[in-house]
Amino acid sequence: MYLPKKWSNISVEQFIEISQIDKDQGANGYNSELISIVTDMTYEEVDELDLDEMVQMVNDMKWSNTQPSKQYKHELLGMKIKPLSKLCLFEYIDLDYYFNDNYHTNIDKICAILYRQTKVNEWGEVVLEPYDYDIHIRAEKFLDLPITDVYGIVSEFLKFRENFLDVYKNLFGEAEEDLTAEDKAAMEPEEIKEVEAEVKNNKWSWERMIYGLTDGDITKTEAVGALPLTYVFNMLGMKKELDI
Amino acid sequence: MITILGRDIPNHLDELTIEQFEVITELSNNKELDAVDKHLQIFASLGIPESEFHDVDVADFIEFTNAFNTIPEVDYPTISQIELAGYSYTAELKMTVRDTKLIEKIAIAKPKGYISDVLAVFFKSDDLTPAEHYAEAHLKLKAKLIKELKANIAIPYLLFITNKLIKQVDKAEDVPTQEVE
Repeated sequence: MYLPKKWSNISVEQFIEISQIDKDQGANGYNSELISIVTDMTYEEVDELDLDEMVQMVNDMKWSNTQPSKQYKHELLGMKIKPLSKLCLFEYIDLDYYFNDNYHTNIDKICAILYRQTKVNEWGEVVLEPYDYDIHIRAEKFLDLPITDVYGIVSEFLKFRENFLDVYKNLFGEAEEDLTAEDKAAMEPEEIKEVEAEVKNNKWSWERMIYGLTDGDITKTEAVGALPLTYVFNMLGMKKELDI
Repeated sequence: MITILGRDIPNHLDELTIEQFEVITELSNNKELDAVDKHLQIFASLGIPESEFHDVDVADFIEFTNAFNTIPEVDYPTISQIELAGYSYTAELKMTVRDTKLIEKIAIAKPKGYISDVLAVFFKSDDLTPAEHYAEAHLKLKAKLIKELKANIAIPYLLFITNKLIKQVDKAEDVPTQEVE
């Protein structure tokens, strides 16, 4: 029976499946699902194994308790990775959403946003395709690749986002969390209203920002979304500083 | 059996039922009870009401608890065949992944009174298909019947599981944490 020896033997699809295993079900439940995903055995076949056999297999796969390499390929499937410094607003918003949701289970969609087809324009320059394709269809192309080809983009983006949020920290308020019954009991009604309004604002923060940038004209949304991220935030910073 | 305040109560594993053993185990592991409360409740579960100890001298009570806890070290043989409600069930000191997952699930979901549930997983009937054996209702009914059996039946199986888990933990140690390709 085939047993992978390292992360590079694991595909993006298998990595996503592994990330989706319920970790609260107990070690043996987790391990049996892991074995089934990385081998060609069905859940039922793994269930019939003697415990010692499974323990031995898990022991032979200690690499699965580590993180895959933080390297990634800059060119894949004939596509090139878009430099993070050149992200447009919509690309960043989508990446931010997929990272906040779960960057392991969404890694195929993250790849779909970052790896882009290219062409040489009439000036002989390499240009990236615009961000107007279906992410979900594009994401499927990455499922059979080894996870080690792409996993590094996770830490790369996290680093980029941390730096970005730090640079523009004056534009991002502290994220308020939903109030619990306990929180509410300890607060004045006015305070509760204020925090609840802030939570509502956070929930709609991107939409609110785009609404503001388009002066409420939603037909301009696509044009704003295609603007470079840093340009948009520099403009927002300027507006805030000059109070215009 | 030992006699306390004129009542015979079981204290050896081949005298206690699995149900009684489960209660004693739960009370013994209850960190919120002190030693006196633990024993008062254990004795109550075995048929001596707490009120009967109200006038007992402390020194006598300590003697009772020492006598109750003095159990000879016995190597309990593995009983691999039992009969429940007219049906015969056999067990082996062997666990499949499915058995282990189920036992793990029982231990997580049912922190007390799980010994009978664990034995219900081990003891299988040749007349049943795996689907029938692992059916929740079947396991539940079997566990209920197993509660009436003597606790010595459970010991080899509990030791077997414990050893397996220790072996598993030992093997899981020294896992590297650095990234690998």
